[in-house]
This record gives sequence, structure tokens and C-alpha cells, in this order.
Amino acid sequence: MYGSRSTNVYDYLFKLLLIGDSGVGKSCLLLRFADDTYTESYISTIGVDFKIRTVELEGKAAKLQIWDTAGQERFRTITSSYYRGAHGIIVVYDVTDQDSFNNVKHWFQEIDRYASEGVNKLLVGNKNDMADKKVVEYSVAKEFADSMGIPFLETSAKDSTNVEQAFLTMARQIKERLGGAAEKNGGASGAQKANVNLRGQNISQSTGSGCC
Amino acid sequence: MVEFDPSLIISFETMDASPDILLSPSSLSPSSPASELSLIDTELHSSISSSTCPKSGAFAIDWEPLLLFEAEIINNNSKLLERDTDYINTSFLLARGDIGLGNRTTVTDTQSCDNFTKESETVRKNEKTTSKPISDITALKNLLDSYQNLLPFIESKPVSDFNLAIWGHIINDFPLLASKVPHVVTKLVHEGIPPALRGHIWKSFIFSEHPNDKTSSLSSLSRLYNALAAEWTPDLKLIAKDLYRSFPDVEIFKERDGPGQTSLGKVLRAYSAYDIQLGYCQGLAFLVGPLLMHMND
Repeated sequence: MYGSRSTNVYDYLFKLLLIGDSGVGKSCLLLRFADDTYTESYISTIGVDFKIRTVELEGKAAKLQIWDTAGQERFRTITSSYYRGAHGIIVVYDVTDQDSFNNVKHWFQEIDRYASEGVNKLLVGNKNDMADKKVVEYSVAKEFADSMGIPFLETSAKDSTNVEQAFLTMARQIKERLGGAAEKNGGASGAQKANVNLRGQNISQSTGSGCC
Repeated sequence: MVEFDPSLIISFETMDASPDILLSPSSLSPSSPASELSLIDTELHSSISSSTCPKSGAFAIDWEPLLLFEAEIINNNSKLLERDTDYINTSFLLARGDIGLGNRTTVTDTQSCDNFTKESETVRKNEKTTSKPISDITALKNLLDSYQNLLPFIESKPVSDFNLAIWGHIINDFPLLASKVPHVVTKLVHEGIPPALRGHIWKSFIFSEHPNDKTSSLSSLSRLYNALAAEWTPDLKLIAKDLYRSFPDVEIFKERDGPGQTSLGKVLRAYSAYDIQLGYCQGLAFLVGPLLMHMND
């Protein structure tokens, strides 16, 4: 399942960004997706952090470079500078915390302000395993997401529900968008396609390359 | 040139005879009303003062070896100075006027080491019959042990009994030690404060500024602290969220709503109320945590 993660060879490099209020579980989602682990006591994120996982999309290796941001308001000047280079942005709220859902629209405003036009978005309601404490109903969040034309998923980093799907949905949509754009430009196959940040096909990447 | 004040010599004999005779006004603090100090300083005073010196409430200082040590460092300094390496510079200590403490003299130049040796002889004479090696350091040793158990991941080098005793004196009366044997104090600090004693020694450094009203400044600070910690700030929710995800792997902060997380929260709340402009910033917990590993809130 995670066999392709360690590979240094990839066809695409997608940059994803996780944003949302502090403590909604952004880091835990990422930890589940990248390392398939979960801990109740993960330290709060200061500034930004990132993890990498390479996944397979329709026979192509897509390296997902996922940036995890601090949720606290005062870090927004730092985190907002990461919006621009992102291909996809995942807005996370906590289904047991009404405030974190109320703030979702502010987070989308941040995206409009700082991110590249046409960036892929996804709304995620995390901590869905805590059914007895859930206060944000699926229907309410779904309605909101639909009104904005954004896909929506309820996840649980704790029991893994929908975590894979969330990231893979995002990756697929990015591939579609960028692939489509490339085709319009007369681009050829796979890795040759435009906008995607290419590191070349079948070139072994040393761990020291790029930012990691 | 260097005037030695014999009243500074304290022997076990005088202490035994009159427990109220203490070294200086500033050293009164260990015997000050415990109720006032207990707010901040319970740990220190219960662990050191009471158990080490049940009679006098203060360490008896055997100056002889200290002064010899001081003279030795000064001697070495004069040699090192020529090569300009590892010279122990005490200017940062001496620059602090509050450490001067009236008539107490400090040794700053190398010529005075002869005088110092003479003084040491005087000390020896005065203390001949009563002088004992500094040995009552059980409490300090217990501190080292308990610290090692509490925070095993912090590396501690073994501390010699001699150095440990000096640290004990520094804790009890930093201004006195800093003025009488500045080179010894500086050398020890340069070599590193034993992790287990950091909290106590930091405190003795800080409060040396007001040696005479240490008690009142402590109690007014602790009142202010408690008042600030009780105030409402916009950051309360976020602080509460971060308490259990700041040091998930450190024993004393592990327990949800345990004493460690409680005092961490209190310090952060008090600070966010104190510094309204900054309030609470994620990451502050990582600064407060190490302090709390060495002293109570």
C-alpha cells in the first residue's frame, strides 16, 4: 500500500497545503496519511512543517509534498506565504468544535487572497470518530461546501476513515486540472505536462534536493 | 589593599552558640517567614534550608578552601592572561553594583592574591578549632538524585562535594559569594551549573538584586502572578488546547490536567494577561516548559 512512498522517482510533484483552526487535527491527518500512525498527543505545530508521500495515480507516480501549517492567527503572515506555490489546499475543521467550522469561511477568504487562481480546494471535517461530541452535522457542512462548489469529506485521523480518500481526491483533481491545461497547450504525455513542477522523469532524486 | 572583614567568617561555633547570627542582611532570607516565601520558594527552602541547616537556617561557610581556590584561579589567570586564553573575566559580576554590598571588598587584580593567601591564613587561624570540611550537602545530593529520576534525559555531569558545597552557598547567598570569591563563582558558572540546581541558582541570581527586600518582592510578585493568572484573556481556549500537546513525552507534563500541565497553563495565562500585545503565541509553552522543569511556577 505504501510501497511507492520510498521511491525517489516520480512523474509529478504536487504541493498540498493544510490549513484550519488550531487543534482541529491537521498534523494528525498528515501523520496518518504520510506515516500511517496516530498519536493522541502530537505537539502543536509552530510555523510550518511538511511531509512527503509518493502515491500512484493512474499508473503515474505522484509525489505529494504536503505542508502543514500552524493554525494560530498570529502565524498567518508566515503561513500565507505558502499558499502561492500550492497546487491544492485542504481546509480542515473539527466536527466537535463549532467555532472551527464557523471559521472555515475565513480560511477560504485567505485562499482567495493569497493562493494562485484555480487552486484546488477541499473541505475536511476531522475527528468524525467522536460521534457523541459531534456538533457540526454532515448536512450543514455538505450544504456549505456545495454552495462553494468544493468537495467535502468527513475524516478521522484516529481510525483512518477517509484520510487516504481526502488526499487522493485532491491529488487526482490536481492531476486532472493540470493535465487538462497541459493538453490544451498541446503538451504530450505524463510528466511532460505543463504547470506541474517537473523534476524530470526517471531521475533519481537525492534526499538533499529541493527543500528536503 | 584588600581588607578582609573578619565578621564575614562564620564558624560552626558561633552558629551553634547563637543561631540568629547570620552572615549579612541578605542571608536573612532563608530564615524569613516561611509563609511569605512558600508561595514561590517552597521547594528550595524545604529541600535545602530546613534539611541541611535545621539549627541556623543558613549554610555555615568554610571560607578557607574557597579563598585558597579563589587565589589559585587568580594566579592561573595571570598566567592565562598572557596567552589570552580561558581567562576568567569577572567583570560581568563586578559590574553589578548591587553585589558590592557596602564594605565588602572584591578582588579584581592579580597582585592581590598574595594578600588573599595571607587572609586565608588568618581565616585558618580564626577557624582552627572550629573549621570542618563542608560536608552537609546531603540535601543537595538528594536534589541531584531526584532530578536525575525526574528528568533522566538531561545529562548531568558528576559534581564534586567541594563544588556542590559552593553551589549551596551560592544558592543561600549569591551576593556574598560573588563579592568574596568572584573568580570561583565565575569559574563554576562557566563550567556549567549542575542541571539539578539550575532552578535554585537562577533564583538566587535574580533576587540578588534586592537582597534586603527579597521577601517582600517575592510576595508582591507572587500576588501579581496569581492575579494575572486569574484574568480573562482571548487566548484561554488556545492555551488549554496546547497544554497537552506541548510535552507529550516529558513525564512531568504527560498527565492530562496533572500538576505539570496546570502550572504550565498558569504561567502561560499569567503571561498572556501581562503582555497584552503579545498575549499567547504558540511555542511559548516550549520556553516555559524547561523553566518549569527546574523550578515551580
